Amino acid sequence: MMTIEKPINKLYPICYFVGIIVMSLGTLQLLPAIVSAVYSEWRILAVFLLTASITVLTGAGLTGLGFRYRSVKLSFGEGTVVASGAWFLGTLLCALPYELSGNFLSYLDCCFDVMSGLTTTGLCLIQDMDHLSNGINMWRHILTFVGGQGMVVLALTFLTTDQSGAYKMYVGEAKDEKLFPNAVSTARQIWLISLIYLVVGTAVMTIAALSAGLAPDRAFLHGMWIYMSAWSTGGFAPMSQNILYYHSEFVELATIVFFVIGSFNFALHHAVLSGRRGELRRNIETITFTVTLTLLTLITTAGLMKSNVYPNAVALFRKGFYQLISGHTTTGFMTIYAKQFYHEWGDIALFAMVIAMLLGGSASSTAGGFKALRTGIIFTAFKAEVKRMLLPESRVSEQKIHHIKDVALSDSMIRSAFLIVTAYIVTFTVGTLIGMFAGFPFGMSAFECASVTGNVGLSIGVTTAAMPAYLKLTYLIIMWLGRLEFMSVLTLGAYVIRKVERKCDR
Amino acid sequence: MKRIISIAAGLLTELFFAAGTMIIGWLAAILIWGIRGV
Repeated sequence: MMTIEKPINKLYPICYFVGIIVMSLGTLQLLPAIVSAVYSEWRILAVFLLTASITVLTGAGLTGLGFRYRSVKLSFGEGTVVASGAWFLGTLLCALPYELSGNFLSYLDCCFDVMSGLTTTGLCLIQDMDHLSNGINMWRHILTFVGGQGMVVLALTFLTTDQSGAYKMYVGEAKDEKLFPNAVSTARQIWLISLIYLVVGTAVMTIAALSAGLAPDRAFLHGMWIYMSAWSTGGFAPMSQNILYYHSEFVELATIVFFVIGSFNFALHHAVLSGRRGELRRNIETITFTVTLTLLTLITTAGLMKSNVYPNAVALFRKGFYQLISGHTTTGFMTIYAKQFYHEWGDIALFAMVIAMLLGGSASSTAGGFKALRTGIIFTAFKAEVKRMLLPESRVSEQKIHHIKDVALSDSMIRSAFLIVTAYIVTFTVGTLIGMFAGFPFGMSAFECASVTGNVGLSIGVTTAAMPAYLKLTYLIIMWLGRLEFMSVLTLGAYVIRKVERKCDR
Repeated sequence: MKRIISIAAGLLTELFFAAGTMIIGWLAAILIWGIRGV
């Protein structure tokens, strides 16, 4: 007798993988717990032990629910649902230590800061930042460090050897470079590169913090946190004045080096660290970044000169260029106060800053924005089109770009680049409108929204705990959309709607 | 050993490249400042 098998509900394998990622986030909460224990912050230690248990148990529950179906193959759509679902649930759970710490005015503010950390944006609504416990500061910077690499990458590295669906989840987190044939090895290589730099960067930044006059143990913590934030192009800092707090050229120059490196593509890191050092000057992303940075630096500097804000070339570099490169790499470190942008910089410099923040760093890096790869592809496509018009109709020319290897520029690459850039522009426009609806002038709203859309973190003064809840929610969603590059979050939305529709039909 | 040397050389190359981007900022600041002086 022939039996018809009931189709498997894909929700179960999705739950299994989301559970694995959530468990890794719970385990991670033990690190700030250790820091709290070292500094005798007993209440914060208890908070982290409690929230780590809740997060791990939630993850274990989800994993248990889907354990039987763990070897079921996921489609690309389902892989992206896992990635965006884990980011959603992860944000809610990672906000628990913030909520219990008493440093936030509402749970929405906690979720905003977690999403800002995980997406490496760097805007924050935390209260009394200058007197935070070391445990909470550690958690803020761990979130931004892990978010830069990606939480799927974290789970693939440390918690699973399972290959089924791994690449699809990896792509769902807006990373599509394969350093090795399989996604698990690629994820491990990403973490290896990050940990090598963690050691080097923490050492350099600790020396920089010592030279700025901090006590040794504080210099180590600040050095490590600033490095983690720079590498992830995050923008969080332990003090409310951000990098301005240190008043140190050494700290400023060292952070520029680390956030520029952090904005490089992981495939580029892998190539350079494997001995292909020439890749740095041949890669389309580094060329595009250098060209756009040069143009925007000239515009910003000219704008600042016109506004007559800074008295000499050194001040122009330390204030003008620093904010610009911080914005262009989507880091968000600041050496001025937020309100100075609006009151002192003038429209020309602010225009250049908005463009820089939207352009962003490299694809498959910790940076946000359109990404230099897409900007380079669009520019090359325009160049090819103009060239084609000048050639006789019978001639066929093939345009190539160099990204790790020579790649022929295809229509699908151009279409994909235009689609994502259009999605960023639409999101930026809608966010700016909502900001204006909340009562902020166009310039301020556009600046802040460019910062949110590009996952930058520079602020002109819009993002405060006092801003309307609907604007907080808008920025939170835009950060999420921008980091996962739209498709994963939209697929999750479509998946949920389809499930609800099916339930209603029954 | 060869792999460690390769990683170290790669690290230094990236550090120099990143530090090199600051030249853009310095040149722009000096250039624009100079133009204003004229």
